[in-house]
Amino acid sequence: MVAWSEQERSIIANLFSNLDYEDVGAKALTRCLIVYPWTQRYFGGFGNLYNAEAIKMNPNIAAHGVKILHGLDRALKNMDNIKETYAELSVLHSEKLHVDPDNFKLLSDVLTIVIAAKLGTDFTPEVQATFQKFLAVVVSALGKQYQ
Amino acid sequence: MDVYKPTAAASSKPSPDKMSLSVKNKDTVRAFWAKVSPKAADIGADALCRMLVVYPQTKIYFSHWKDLSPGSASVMKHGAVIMQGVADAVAKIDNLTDGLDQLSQLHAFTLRVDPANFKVLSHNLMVVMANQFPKDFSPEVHVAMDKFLALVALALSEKYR
Repeated sequence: MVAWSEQERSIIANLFSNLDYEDVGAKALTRCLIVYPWTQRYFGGFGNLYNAEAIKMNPNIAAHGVKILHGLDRALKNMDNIKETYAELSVLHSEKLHVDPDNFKLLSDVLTIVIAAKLGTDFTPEVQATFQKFLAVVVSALGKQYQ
Repeated sequence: MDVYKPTAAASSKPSPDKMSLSVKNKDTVRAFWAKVSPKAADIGADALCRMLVVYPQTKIYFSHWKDLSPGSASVMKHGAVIMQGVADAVAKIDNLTDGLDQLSQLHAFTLRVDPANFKVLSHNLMVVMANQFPKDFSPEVHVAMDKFLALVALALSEKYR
């Protein structure tokens, strides 16, 4: 089990309570598909991904980005039990979606950069460290059920 | 995605085994660099500071510094030094392997920085770029910069073994 200080819990709670899911979710997935184009392999049925402009304007991608971001709410609500909380989603990503778990880290890095762009001076090194720790725990949990 | 379209002018040597920079990538990196270079020292210091806080294992390379805290003289000075290296790499973008030969020797034989850390610093450089230039660090700039920094890291690792 991962240990969280009071300060870390407070940083995470604060970050998510002020989060614009519609904006950040769409931007994160869009940016991931542009920066790491091989991740497009999972979105064959989502419409036009031909170039960066098309990806940015694709409403299916935007909606899915928001869905993925809301997936982090589970960790937010169960910070002391993230591994068990994501067991089901881990099986889904492995057995049904067949997502290479390396991609979780890629999306996590992109999300950090999107949040950095959004928060400006509020994105202090401490906030960055806490957010990256949070994402790393989620990423680890999502990879746990792969076999 | 034209980042994967081979163009004759893209590189002076054919490099089939790595993701080379396209002409467009290079133009993008140069244009973004021109915009941010007045704040290069500041960017470098912030990136270095974040690396030391977010990835505490990297502190082992700076055990000879008295003060590793954000804003310390050592961090500020070294951040500027790192960015001079990045500026050099931008200028030598058409041939990073040859251009960064001396820096590679320094990192390989003197500093002996584990090459995994190049990726860590690159990530923090891009976090700062996004943080300080949110309107300019678009997805297109991001992918070009990510490729560029990866190739810089590769050039720096050339002499390791």
